[in-house]
Amino acid sequence: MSLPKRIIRVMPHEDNLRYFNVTIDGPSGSPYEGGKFKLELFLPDDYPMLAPKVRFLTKIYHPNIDRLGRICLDVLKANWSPALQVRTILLSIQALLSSPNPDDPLANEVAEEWKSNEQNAIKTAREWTERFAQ
Amino acid sequence: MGNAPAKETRSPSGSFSKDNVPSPKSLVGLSKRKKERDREKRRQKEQHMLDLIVRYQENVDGGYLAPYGNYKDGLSYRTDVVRELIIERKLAPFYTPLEDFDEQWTDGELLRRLKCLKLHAPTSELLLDEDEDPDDHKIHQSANSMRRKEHKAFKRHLSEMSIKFQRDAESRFTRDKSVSESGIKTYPNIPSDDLLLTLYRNAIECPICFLYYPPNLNLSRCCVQPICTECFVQLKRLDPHPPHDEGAAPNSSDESEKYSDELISEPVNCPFCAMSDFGVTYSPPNLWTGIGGRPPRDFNLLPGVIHEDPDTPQGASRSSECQRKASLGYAMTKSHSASGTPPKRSTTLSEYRMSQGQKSYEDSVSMNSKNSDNSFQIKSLEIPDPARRRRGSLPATAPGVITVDLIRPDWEQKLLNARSKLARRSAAATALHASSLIYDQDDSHRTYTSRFERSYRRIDSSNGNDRNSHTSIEERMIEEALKLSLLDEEERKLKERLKR
Repeated sequence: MSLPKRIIRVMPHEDNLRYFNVTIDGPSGSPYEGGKFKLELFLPDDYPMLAPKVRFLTKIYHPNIDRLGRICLDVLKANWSPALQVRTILLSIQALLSSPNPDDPLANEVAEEWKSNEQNAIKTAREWTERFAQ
Repeated sequence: MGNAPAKETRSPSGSFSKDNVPSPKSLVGLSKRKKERDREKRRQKEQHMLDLIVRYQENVDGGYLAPYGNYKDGLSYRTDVVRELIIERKLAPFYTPLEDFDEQWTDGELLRRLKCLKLHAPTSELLLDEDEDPDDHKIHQSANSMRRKEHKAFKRHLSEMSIKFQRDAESRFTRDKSVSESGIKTYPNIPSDDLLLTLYRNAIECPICFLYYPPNLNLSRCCVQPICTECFVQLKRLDPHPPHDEGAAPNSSDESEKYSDELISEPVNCPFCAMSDFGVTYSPPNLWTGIGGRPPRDFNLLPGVIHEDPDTPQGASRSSECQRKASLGYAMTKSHSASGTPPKRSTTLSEYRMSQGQKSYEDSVSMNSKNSDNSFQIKSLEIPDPARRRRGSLPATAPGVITVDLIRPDWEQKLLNARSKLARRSAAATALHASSLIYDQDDSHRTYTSRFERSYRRIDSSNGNDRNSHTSIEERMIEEALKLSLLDEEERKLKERLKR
């Protein structure tokens, strides 16, 4: 996978090297375009046998990300494999921003809105990006 | 997993019956059989801890029988099985990893790095969580809390011992290594420079831990990817869990949804290609040093030099003491080792076990001279390169495939335990539900005919209709007791079957 621009930045924390501050740029063509989303990433003791723990810190309107920033993504749960890396995980999260999946929701109201009135949902997502992810 | 069952030791069941046992010794309250079982469990745990100590005398083709320590936890695999597989050369030994590797390094540079390697990763003085036990404040401590405390103390003891043993093994290795280097005396189990170089010259990276190992790593059975033994023994099944949505049977009604038999446990998927039932194969390099081979000290790239027999004057150049020791080692195995052929597996293993019983591991590991096999040294030194040995994918049942379930066979017992625990819990919930309904029987007949009514019928389907109108509390309680004992019986039978 080629990355034309540096769109994901990862910085380890000073006092805990298992803890990272991550910034993901909203993918172009999505309602999150132009936003900079902050996430926290933590490598548990059992990493890489267990998946890293990732959470959005920036508020985001997305059917698979709840109010606490928790992410519903198979590779963070049952489909985690120790051969996956932080890089692949972050790319998957970015891909999730490009293609929300309201049929497997974590934030129910957002997913409902996404299914019943997609135009409106996308509009809200764009507004939230402007309000919170700058 | 969030839905993992709580630790067994915290199990609240039974605590009320023995709550006020005033005895200071927790074991007093337990039956004799239980005590026996406890003792046996501890013995097993001690053995497990001992098996995880890396001792340089226990080596196979330049690697060891216990992990280096990249992972602090998750070492609950069957150490006896893994050790045996390594000795049989069916699984790569635990090699000491290199953090960096550069093909440009000269032999001298590589050797210098290799000689600094430790047997085990530095162990921090494990700070076992000293969280306060809530039971400390109780005047009467329950038998369970006493057991818990004892268990904790035992765990701390184990980890202290393991740190001590590893430190001893380490210092012995360091000492013997420096003595060997000074040339005063040699030890048969200190690897020769040639062996070290042969192993690590073409080191490759394990794609999971990113550390460098000799190229004879295990290969995944499905997609032929390398994986080091230390990462392999980390893999394990997830805890028993209800099936995922996509896997659930379409006809599962809400009634059976929580039914304990629905808990499943799935084999580990390949970390690389996600194929189910992960397993690896291993092709050993033709080195044959250490257990089941010649002393790693005597591994030499120059043909003829290792051609050594304690009975011939060729070996006389060595100091007399080491000569004596070596010949002792040879003598032990001489009768079994037909010259030039690897010893029979069973012989080596039993001998190895014998030697394990001795007080000192020093020089006790069986070694077989490879004398009079000149052709062997020249041809065999190439370590097969995994990329070159392309082979198709193999089924999990193919000979030579080592699956995760083989080194962690406890999953079946775990599943059984989780199922019976859930069954008991739901039975208890049903009982509670029933008794609470009885009080306001007059107006709640309709709610009663729900799931648990049906589950009653499962037990006693002959007269399931309108029983609720004339069943007294006692009768229901008796039924519940019967049901629980039936469950226990069922569990006992299953366990017995599993044992066989």
